[in-house]
Amino acid sequence: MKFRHLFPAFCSVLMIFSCNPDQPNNPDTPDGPENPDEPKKENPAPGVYKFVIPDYSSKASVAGDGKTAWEAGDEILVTGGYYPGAVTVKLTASDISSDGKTATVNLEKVPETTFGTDKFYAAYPAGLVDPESSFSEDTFDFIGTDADLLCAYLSGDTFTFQHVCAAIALSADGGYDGCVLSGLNWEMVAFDKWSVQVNSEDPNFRRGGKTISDYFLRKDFKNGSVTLYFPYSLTLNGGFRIYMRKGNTYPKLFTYSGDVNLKRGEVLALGNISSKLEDYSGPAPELPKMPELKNVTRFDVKEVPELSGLCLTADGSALWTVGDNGWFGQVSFDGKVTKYWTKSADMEGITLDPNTGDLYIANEPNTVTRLKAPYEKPSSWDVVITVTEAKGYGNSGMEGISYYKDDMLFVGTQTSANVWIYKFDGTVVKGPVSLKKVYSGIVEVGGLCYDPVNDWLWVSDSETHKVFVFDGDLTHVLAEYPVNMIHNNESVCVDHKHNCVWVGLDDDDVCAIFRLDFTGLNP
Amino acid sequence: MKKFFLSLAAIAFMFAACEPKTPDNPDTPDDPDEPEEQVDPIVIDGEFDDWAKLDQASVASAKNNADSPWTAVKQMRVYATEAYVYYYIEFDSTEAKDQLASWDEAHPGLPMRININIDGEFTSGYAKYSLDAYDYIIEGSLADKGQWVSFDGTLHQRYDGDWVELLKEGSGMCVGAGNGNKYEIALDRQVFDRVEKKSNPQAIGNVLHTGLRFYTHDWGELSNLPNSSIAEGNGDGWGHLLEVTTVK
Repeated sequence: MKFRHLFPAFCSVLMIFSCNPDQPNNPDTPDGPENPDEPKKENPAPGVYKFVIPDYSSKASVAGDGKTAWEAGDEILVTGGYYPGAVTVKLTASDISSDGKTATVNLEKVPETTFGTDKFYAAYPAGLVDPESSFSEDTFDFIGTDADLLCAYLSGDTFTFQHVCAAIALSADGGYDGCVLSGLNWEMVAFDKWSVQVNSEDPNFRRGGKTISDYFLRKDFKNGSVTLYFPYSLTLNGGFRIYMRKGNTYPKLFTYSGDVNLKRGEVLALGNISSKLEDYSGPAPELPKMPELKNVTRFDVKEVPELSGLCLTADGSALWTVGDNGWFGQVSFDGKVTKYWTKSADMEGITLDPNTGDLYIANEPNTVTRLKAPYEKPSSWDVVITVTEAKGYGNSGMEGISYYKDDMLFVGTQTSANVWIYKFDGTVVKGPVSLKKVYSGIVEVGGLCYDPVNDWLWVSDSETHKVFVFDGDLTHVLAEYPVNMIHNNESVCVDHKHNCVWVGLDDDDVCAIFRLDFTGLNP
Repeated sequence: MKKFFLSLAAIAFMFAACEPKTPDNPDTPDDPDEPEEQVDPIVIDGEFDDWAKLDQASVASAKNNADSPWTAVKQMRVYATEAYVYYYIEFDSTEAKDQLASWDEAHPGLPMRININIDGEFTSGYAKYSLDAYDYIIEGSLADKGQWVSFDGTLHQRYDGDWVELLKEGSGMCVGAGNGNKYEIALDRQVFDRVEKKSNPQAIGNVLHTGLRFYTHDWGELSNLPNSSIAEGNGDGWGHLLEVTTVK
């Protein structure tokens, strides 16, 4: 073979290699695996991985305490941060070390793609991880918290788990079916979901999210013992109560006195509490059954500009109404409007003293004025209350007012959802109480109405588009009713005579009153 | 000599084969008779595995801030090619079910806005719901009577203090698909760019900035992305628009 015969072939091969942009070993391409500047990131391969479970920092002394060892059948979810590619590992007895602390598993398949700070992430129990969170990255959305939640990120070949929950463990003789725990000060202790971000750089074991919470944590006994789990932490000022359940009755009560401050990974081991149980004959540990919203009807009141306050007239036949720009008048239950007068004032709420017939009007930012009957003219416009804390609230000031009892008024502001109780003479009796601190689901006070029949305070919140019901002492929330159909619900008025609640819409165009019909409004 | 010419011919053929693709080159895929077949990296079909196969370094994403006022939408992801801007939206699963179920005859949809800034200038334009002002919104619906439908909203430009409608809903600028608690959209850049704007630039640049605003069926506020924690000076919890660089 002569060289001149090979020359064209050599050139052809040279050309083909030099002009193929997808040639995998081309060092000039940015993604080339041999490019020293941008090395290709390799995903962890199938192989042997270890799963290590931690202790609780204060171990319980009874069986049924927090989970501190793997068991055959435990299912662990391993993801690369994308749920559809996740792998569920079911442990067998041979995987688990003699002390139960380490499971060593040969993973024949691992997630193909990785997202987030670290390569792989793991969570236990696998069945409680929300499968609908696809690009989960380093976050696990647990869709239940009645379990010892654990999570980890991969370091080397090992997942070292961390506890998500704190725990209280106890046992009792006497054949109890279950128990209910509640704080002494209406703390939230139960959650239907919990979101956790676990990684090597900036973990967050309290990511928040849409969560339904409860003042009562319920759990069944198993072999005479129970462990209660609380995601992230448990803070109970003064202590807690545990109601012991047999069937549908609660014959015994355990009371723990003293502040409780448990962090995740810590357990309070109460041991056997049988000797500390007391007889109990009080009500079942649950919130009262609340009224059910059945129907909503809209009545336009376009003659009322910027409707911002409602209350029933003395005979309960219509609604006194105020508007932001100083409008005052009456609205019938089917939306007919009778204007009385307008005044240069930012009137945001109105209430009636049933004993005298005087009307009290909340003015933004921080005053209450009294209007004596007859109301045809604002001649008796007396400032009776000035809320000093709300002086700087500006346009986020006083929005709600309601007659309470014994010559006292509730007043409330948008800022911090603060509520006060004032006497007519301007003396503060209580407050400010931030309803946000009582219940994190509320954002502001847009309107108030005290319900003397049930001893409840109804609160309209135009930010969340909800109407909330709090107990009269402002210690806990009882119900929340979404009113998304009212996009700026700035007032609320309870009408027991007609089994309904009136809610006003403050709209730049056409204002309206909405009749919310309930069942169970009257006890 | 004959073999020498054969060698030259072979070399010439190889060079020709390596010539860059130009409009004048009849053998390149840019030939109008033989158009190059573009492979869209994302297919708008309500299946989302193709999002996981993208080069994640080119995907801009924003997760819901736990300390923001919102919980309904968990994250958004955006990926831009020269042909399309793609959006991926993941709702809280409970919220998605609730929102789809809560329509009424007067409000059968689930409104959403795509907010877009195409000029990299953040002081003029609409300065609400984001810490950066933006010039364009595409306002449409993700659902109808409880079912996901294709999002193809109305294009408005913020001009002289008002929203000016540039392109009506259903003009084919966007296509969307939802499945479960997830939704994806492709915005056709060519359609967007061809619409006559009230000011320059007329086209989406190589780098764009974008965000999403979500509403309940009756226009209550549902969510806002990107967002941030409520803080001094940012009492609304708004965030900065996502910066998205076009993949070429």
